[in-house]
Amino acid sequence: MNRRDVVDLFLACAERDPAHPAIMGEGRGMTYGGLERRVRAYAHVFARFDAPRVLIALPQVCDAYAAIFASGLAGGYHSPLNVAAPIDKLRRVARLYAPNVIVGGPELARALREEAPAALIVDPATLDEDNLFEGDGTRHALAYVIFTSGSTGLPKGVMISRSALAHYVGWMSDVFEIVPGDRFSQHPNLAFDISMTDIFGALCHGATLYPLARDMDRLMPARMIERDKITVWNSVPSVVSLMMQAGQVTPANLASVRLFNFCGEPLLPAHLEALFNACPGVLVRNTYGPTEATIAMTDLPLRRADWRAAASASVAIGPPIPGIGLHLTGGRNPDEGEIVITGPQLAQGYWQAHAKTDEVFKDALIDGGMQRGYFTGDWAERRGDHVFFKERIDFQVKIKGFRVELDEVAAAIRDCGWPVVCVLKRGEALVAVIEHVPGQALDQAALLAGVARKIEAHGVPVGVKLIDRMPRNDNDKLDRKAVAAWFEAQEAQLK
Amino acid sequence: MSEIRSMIAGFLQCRPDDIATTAALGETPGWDSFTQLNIMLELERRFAIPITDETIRTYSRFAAIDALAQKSASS
Repeated sequence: MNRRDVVDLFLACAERDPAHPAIMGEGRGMTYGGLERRVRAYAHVFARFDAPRVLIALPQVCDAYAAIFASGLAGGYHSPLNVAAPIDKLRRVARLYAPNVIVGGPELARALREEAPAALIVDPATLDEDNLFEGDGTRHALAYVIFTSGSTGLPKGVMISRSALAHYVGWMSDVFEIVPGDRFSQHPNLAFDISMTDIFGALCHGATLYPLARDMDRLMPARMIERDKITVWNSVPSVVSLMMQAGQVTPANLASVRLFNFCGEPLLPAHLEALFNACPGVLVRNTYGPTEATIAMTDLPLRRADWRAAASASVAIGPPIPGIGLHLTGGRNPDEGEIVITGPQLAQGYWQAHAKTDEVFKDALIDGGMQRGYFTGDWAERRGDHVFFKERIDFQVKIKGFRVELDEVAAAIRDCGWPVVCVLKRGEALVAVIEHVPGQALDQAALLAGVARKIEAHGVPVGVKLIDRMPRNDNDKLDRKAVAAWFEAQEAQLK
Repeated sequence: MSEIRSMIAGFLQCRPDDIATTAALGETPGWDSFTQLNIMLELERRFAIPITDETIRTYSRFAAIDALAQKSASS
């Protein structure tokens, strides 16, 4: 397996064919040579610091990708932000991460620097391309830190090493059969780690990256696939639902695609039915992996002729990729249990959160020996040759592909003045039940607006109900099942 | 109760009265890309509004959609 660092792979591509398009879209393109110049210009600035800690506060634009490679080239690491997230959340990340460089437009970068006063702001509009970083540099052990929902209301920073990232990208090199003529979509925002599949899939293999920058492209992605002749599409499966809803899953729209890669939430038989009807010859890869195991660590290639054997309520997640272990533990029999992952793609842990790290990264008895494992909180079962994801065993849920900690939502509601809260997933949305506070009236719109200032829109409940006294169990813990039953009874009465 | 308000309430799975006049994509719970797509498809069907970057931005707020429906009803 090829395990070269992503920066070295990118520089080799730029040296091999500097005139080849690296990034297209946004009304302009950038060649590998142009992107390398941008990377070296950023790295020159970053290298003023020892092991630069770079915060990237940019949308999916050329400079964001340049800053990612530049932080590695300059001997540092980066953390990408979803700039569409509420400013309060971005500030919390900036405070925790304490970057020494913030790359972004002046307004957002200044707001973030209030949380990290020592940070240098690098504005892409004024980057000096006359001074370039020379040579290949040295590499830091860390590649990036991605902040995800945290149960305490504070984001969790997942620390991914360069060797873990190289392992994943090496696997892609082995199986994706990427050629310079490939055109990769770039749909997920940069703080969603599956965006790395696009970025390193394209830019470490001499292919071209097509960010979805326009509103229409995000709403009707198949039109963009058709217009830009995308050959490799990567996203959460929900995007196929969006295409299906718009009646866009047609042979004409999807004819250029040779590979659909999915990750981040269960792939459904209906998705495959639609895709294979439109594109009988296409290859679909269903992958699975928490951020803590570096993007994805299982892989199930699916063809029209064979996919049904791997489908149940959802599609099987596939076997682990070479070098990675997937184990089921804690079940009533060996064919069910919590997924525990071992191998070189495990994160180093959580950013400045040792106790939280020790909770989920721990030694496990596997195949007669002790190995460091990541306990995912995902329950799965093995049927025949296939492993199927069943459910979460904690309070983390996925809403349309986005990872949400129910406790983070509850913390945001508590911050708004309602101390006793229970957040429930209902269908593809969240709802909240809050306990009555004497003398306090519930203004639902004001409460939800307050929550929306603290967390992303997909985590904001669509409804709130007031309960006199929250149901509790014998240990006086909140009884979630009873709360859910009460909520459903209330809804039934309304009907 | 306007037909448009009922339509959006159907997409948001809420009561029509719960929709604030300031409701908007990305700001109102449940008003995400799926909801926006449904709204745009409905506007295309009812009012022949083409789906473009500009119309998506314009009609990402309840007030603008309501104004469009009222203008259409009065013409």
